[in-house]
Amino acid sequence: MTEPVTGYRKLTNNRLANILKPQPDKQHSANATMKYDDQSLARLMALSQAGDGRAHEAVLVACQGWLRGFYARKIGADHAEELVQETLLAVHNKRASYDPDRPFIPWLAAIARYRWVDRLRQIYRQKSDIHAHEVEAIDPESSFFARFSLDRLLDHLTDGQRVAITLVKIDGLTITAASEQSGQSVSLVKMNIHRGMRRLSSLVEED
Amino acid sequence: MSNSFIQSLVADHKAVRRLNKRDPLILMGALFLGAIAIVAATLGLRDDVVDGHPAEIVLLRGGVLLSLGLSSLIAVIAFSRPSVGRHSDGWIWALGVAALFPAITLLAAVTGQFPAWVLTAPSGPVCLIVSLALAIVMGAALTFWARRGAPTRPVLQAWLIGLSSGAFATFSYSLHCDSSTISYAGIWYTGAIVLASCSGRLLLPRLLRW
Repeated sequence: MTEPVTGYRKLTNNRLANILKPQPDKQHSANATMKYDDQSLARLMALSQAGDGRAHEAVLVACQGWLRGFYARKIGADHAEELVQETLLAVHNKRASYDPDRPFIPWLAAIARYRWVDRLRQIYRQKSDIHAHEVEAIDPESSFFARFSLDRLLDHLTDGQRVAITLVKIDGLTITAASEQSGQSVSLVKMNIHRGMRRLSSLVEED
Repeated sequence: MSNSFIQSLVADHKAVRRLNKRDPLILMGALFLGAIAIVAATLGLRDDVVDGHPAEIVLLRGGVLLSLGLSSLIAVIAFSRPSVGRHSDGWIWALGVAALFPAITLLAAVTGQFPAWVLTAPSGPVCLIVSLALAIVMGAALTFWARRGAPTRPVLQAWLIGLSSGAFATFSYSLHCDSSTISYAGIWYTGAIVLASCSGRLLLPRLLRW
């Protein structure tokens, strides 16, 4: 039996229909993927919190796409799918913790990062390579995780940029020493660092 | 992943009550007033507090303890919601100010001006026991609330819950405390807060993970 659409329900359905109009992804139009902007996701999540099943489904589908990209950059697409599922479950279970007055993507990103760190903790526990207290001390902001993420990001750079940034920004060599070690001229080292850092910045912002 | 997984989540979906920032403030406010009432009923309040003219040291240490408790409570509330690049670090400044009490005590010890009676004062262990007992109640309630949220840094959250409940509990006791010396607060108040914080760090992370 179909429920009559009246009053608030009708209003909600109209708002939902507007929000659910997907926006074509201009950058990847060939893939014909659809994306929601942050404001739309925030409104959808607010409706989901109020009990709207359609909005909840739309949020989860949108999150699924975003999470696949997020994890693929960090651990590779082949291992990402299980984490995507875990994170969707977390989004579902912890939806009460979202504040519709705040941006949605940072909320989702924080949950995604938490699940990722939790997965790494589980992996290390299984391997027993480190002691329990060291596992407890794992901090998502720690240099280990920064380096883990950085290694993934560095894969997106050219060989010259990766070598220059690794030698100067990570290993702490001077420009001259990096030039001698890498075989690049001093000016090329500087240019590779400049361009590589700009590329890294844009990658991090995409996250 | 098949979308049957998403469909199963949608089938389980129902309206939820949003995590409310006011709830923990009201909860901790009620427990804080209750703690003061318990101290007043069992141990009694200082005469100057009862008279409404508290000594300067009472105002000073009370202000420091309240700012420490409140700023760390605000951080607990903020960190119960997942977010990126959001900092709620007022508690660090409050902790820095509170650290003046043990720092001054240490300086007194180095310069030979430390009042030795502070270490053997019979009220010292009472201060520790009462403050910790009250902190356990407050910390348990705050943990229960935080579990409704989604703390993404459970270890830091555990420290902060211990710090906040320890500071509020010690303030409650301080309204009874006869001592008016900084060294006493530097030893016993600091001890109570450190113990509460360390207890939170040891016991709470496993309860806060999700």
